[in-house]
Amino acid sequence: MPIMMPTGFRPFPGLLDCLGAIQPGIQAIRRSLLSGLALTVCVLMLVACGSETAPTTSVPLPSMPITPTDPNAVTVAMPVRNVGSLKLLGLSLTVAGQEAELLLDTGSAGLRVLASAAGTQGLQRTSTPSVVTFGDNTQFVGVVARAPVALGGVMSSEPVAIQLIDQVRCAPGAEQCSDRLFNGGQPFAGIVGTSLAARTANVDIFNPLTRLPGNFGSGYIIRTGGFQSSQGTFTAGLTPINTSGFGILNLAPAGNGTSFSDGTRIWDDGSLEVSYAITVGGEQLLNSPPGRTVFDTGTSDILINSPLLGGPTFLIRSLPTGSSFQAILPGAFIYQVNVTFPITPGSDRIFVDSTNNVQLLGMPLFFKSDVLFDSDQGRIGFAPLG
Amino acid sequence: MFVLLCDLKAILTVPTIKTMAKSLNQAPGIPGVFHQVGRQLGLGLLLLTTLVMLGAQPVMAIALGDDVSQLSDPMMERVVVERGSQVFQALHRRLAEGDLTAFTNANNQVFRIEIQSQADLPPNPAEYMGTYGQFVSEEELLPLRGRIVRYQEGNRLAEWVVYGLSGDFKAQAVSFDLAPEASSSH
Repeated sequence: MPIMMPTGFRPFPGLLDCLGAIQPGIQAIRRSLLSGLALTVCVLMLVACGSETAPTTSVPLPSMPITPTDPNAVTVAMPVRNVGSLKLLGLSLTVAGQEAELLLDTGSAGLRVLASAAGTQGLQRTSTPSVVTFGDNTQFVGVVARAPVALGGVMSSEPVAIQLIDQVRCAPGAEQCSDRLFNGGQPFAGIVGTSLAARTANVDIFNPLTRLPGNFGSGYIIRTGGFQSSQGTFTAGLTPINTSGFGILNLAPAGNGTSFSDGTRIWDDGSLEVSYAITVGGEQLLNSPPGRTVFDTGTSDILINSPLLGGPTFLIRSLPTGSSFQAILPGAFIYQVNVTFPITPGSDRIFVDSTNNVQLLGMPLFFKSDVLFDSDQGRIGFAPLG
Repeated sequence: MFVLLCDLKAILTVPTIKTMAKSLNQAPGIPGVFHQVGRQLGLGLLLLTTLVMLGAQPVMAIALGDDVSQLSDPMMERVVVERGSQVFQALHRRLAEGDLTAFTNANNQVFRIEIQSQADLPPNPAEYMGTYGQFVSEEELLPLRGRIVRYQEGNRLAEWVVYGLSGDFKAQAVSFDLAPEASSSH
């Protein structure tokens, strides 16, 4: 019998017995899903095509107020940007004296900014080439540079190694990519990767927030304000006041716990293990043991590797309308999504395949939960939307 | 189709080509030419020996639908892979830039290829999709994170998925019509 729970996010109340209510074992997938496949594809095409040029809405969207917390933390506005059918987060940093809005990405590490959007104050451009290609064939071509970086007026204690982007393009031979996210007046002038792990080919380019002075560099809190919000808040600097109410869990150190010569610690930000359950057409197809999970604002949806979790290979690309999805992280949350019609990217679109070796809980989770990343002590915390 | 280990071959052959060009331009006369040809042959034998000693044998390309029953690629190791409750026969190849695992069905046909790559560019689906690469395709992008391409003709359906970024790509080619019944169902 499937668990009946309203769509949403609940802080974990210690009800591990919920797991016991889920039928054990993986059942065979029903052929009735084949008919759902065609419908799903149609819906996805409609959503993808129909929303490219659609206006957001004529009704003012709610935004979170920016209230000072305490002197050891800084809180700034964090716009929720509509990019096509997707919602992504923006964060403004001052790079070499010029403010630039960047895509906030907790799933990668390093500051990558268009050269045209960065200032010149203290900028040290090197001749060392830096090229990074993303999985969708978007390619940043530029050089390594060092620059002072500031968030909300708080300046980094030293110049930060960054990628200075001279060109955003599709990788050679690729017909499509997401270069439009960054070119031609789009909201983002690059990416600020704030992963607690050194998830980049160049370990010198890492989370720039760790270079904020004193307590400001201890970690950060992301509050989106929910799916309908047009603006959330981003807080740098963890204090007893702003971390109260979070269920906080420890990450494992990455490698030997140290990646940089100055002793900056890095953490395995996929080391928290979440249990998943998927029900389609009234039949429970996945009831997984805990699996490694990354909490990633750079992922617009949710990506689950079903076979890795002991479940079946799905022929469908994403869960069809009527499905239910549940993620449980003991000590932190129970998160449930009921897939509705039409499927909404950023809300209830859940991709199921067997490619990634880690589960990705992307923006849908961040629209249901405030999330805390503690880079000093290697912890992630969750709290109901503030 | 055989694909040579291009990196190693390129590194080892480039100096040879340069040496030959220089000797021909200098036109040192017949005895000199014989002498230089002898040197080139000796160098070529040395390089060939080096290649063999380094194990640089031809690497077999592999694609969806390939029949692997007659495959004799020394770089490919036959393995058994457990995925949840399912057990698959597979071929595994470890290369400098990553790993490749090709899953086979009861007819020894490749129905799924998983790739982990540390290369700068994502793997190219044209190398792995086989005949499916000729089908009508539709593409979906997950901004920055990944790319999904579906190939379909009649009831034949395959998919290419790639995630990651430079230095850490994960890709998969899968044929749903060749997959074993237990895993392909829907």
